[in-house]
Order: sequence, then C-alpha cells, then structure tokens
Amino acid sequence: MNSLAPLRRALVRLVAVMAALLPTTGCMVLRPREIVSPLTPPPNIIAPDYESPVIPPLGFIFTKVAAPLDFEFPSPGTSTRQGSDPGLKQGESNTHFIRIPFVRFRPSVAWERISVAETARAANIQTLHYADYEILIVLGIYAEYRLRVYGE
Amino acid sequence: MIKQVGAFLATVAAVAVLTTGCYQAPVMPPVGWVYSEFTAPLDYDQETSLVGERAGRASSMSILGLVALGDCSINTAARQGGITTLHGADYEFFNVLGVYQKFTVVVRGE
Repeated sequence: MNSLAPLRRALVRLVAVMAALLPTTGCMVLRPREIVSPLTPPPNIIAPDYESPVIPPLGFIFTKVAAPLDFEFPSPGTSTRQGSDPGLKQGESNTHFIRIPFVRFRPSVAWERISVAETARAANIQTLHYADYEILIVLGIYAEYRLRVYGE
Repeated sequence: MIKQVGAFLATVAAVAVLTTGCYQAPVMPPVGWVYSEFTAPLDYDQETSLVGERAGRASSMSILGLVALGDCSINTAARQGGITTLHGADYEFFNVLGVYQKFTVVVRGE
C-alpha cells in the first residue's frame, strides 16, 4: 500500500498543476448546455452552448440575469433608438428547457418560440428600437430564455 | 467532518477559479483571474460613440460562480440614466478571484 503513496502524491500534484493552468486557457465554461437562444439552432443530443452576443457571468447553481441582445445603435442624426421613453412598447416571449439529470445521455426538451418579429407583432410594435433578454437557469435542469423587444 | 468541509471548500474554490472570466461580449480584453477591473466597448461603431453625454448603468453579479443575479439590460440602464435616445454602450467587468464578479452595462445618450 505504501508503495503507491509516491504515485498518489505525483497524481495530486499533476491535477493541481492542471487546475492552476486551466484558468489561463480562457473561459472555462461551467454553464448548462443545450439552451435555446434566438442565435442558435434548436438543441440536439450533442447540443451547442447557450449563445448570445452578451453573456454576463453565470452561476452554476442558480442564474437569473438580464442582458442586452441588441447593442449596436445607429449614428445620431440618421435615426434614433429610444431608451426609456415612457411611450415605448414592450413585447415578451420565452422558451423553456428541461433536462432530465442522472439518466444516460441526459435527455432534454425545449419548446416555445422567441422570434423577434412575432414578439413585436404580438405587442403591436411597428418600429423596433432594441432588444434585451433574460436567462433563468436552475442547476442546468431547468432554463428559461426570455426575449424582450422594445419599440413603438 | 473536517475532511468533508475541506472537500466542499476545495470544490467551491475549484468552481470559482474555473468560472473566472466566464462572460461573453463583442470585445473582450484579457481577463485576470486574480483581479480584473476594466471597461470595454459594447457598441464599437465609432460614429455612434459620443463623449460627454448622459450615461446610465445597470449591473449583474455572480458569487463564487455558483449564483448569478441582476439586470444589466439596455432598458434598465437607460431608465437609470433617464436616457430617451440611445447612442452607444460600453461595459465594465470586475472580478476578484472568481469569487465575486460584476458585469455592468453603461449606455450613453440623451
């Protein structure tokens, strides 16, 4: 048994060095996979990550954050994007995602539509100004992606 | 018992370290995993980036890479700054060892 001790120590050191090097490789994604967004195709078994142009830091256990979806504003004078005008209309739609944990292949389902055009139409918005989104993730088992469009 | 607490703390620390710098934006400067505090463009079209305008801010934060809460949407930032016409946006990122991370959206306009 004692003969294995040096090997075990070496293994622990190796793991420690690898763990120390991992952060230098960039962003280690520890967020749930297979989440639908307007910018990615629907998930399959080997699914893409949840994608959005702006993703704030997420939580592994619980996440509820809102962030910009559209952040490119036109030149002043050419056209305008309204910010917090009280007359601005807001449209919302969301998708849901559920993964069954502790099962082989971790099957998941996702449903609902978050088309910008459909959301705007439902809110009677003729001119779109910008869009935000909100993501809710609970342990990677349940997720909700909410699209918010603003316009008049 | 001490071993279990140690294992739990080690797991929390590992998650915190591994999630450091885990955010996504159109422009991402190098992120320090011990400490980071910087501002970068969100809207990088120079024609729209006017200086000296009103600014509005909205933030979200992540603690230990385990729980993330907040609202850093354009709408919330614009409301905070009383901005009715948007011209551009930046973001600020703050990180201490992955234990505390704050992402702030700063919108500019009139």
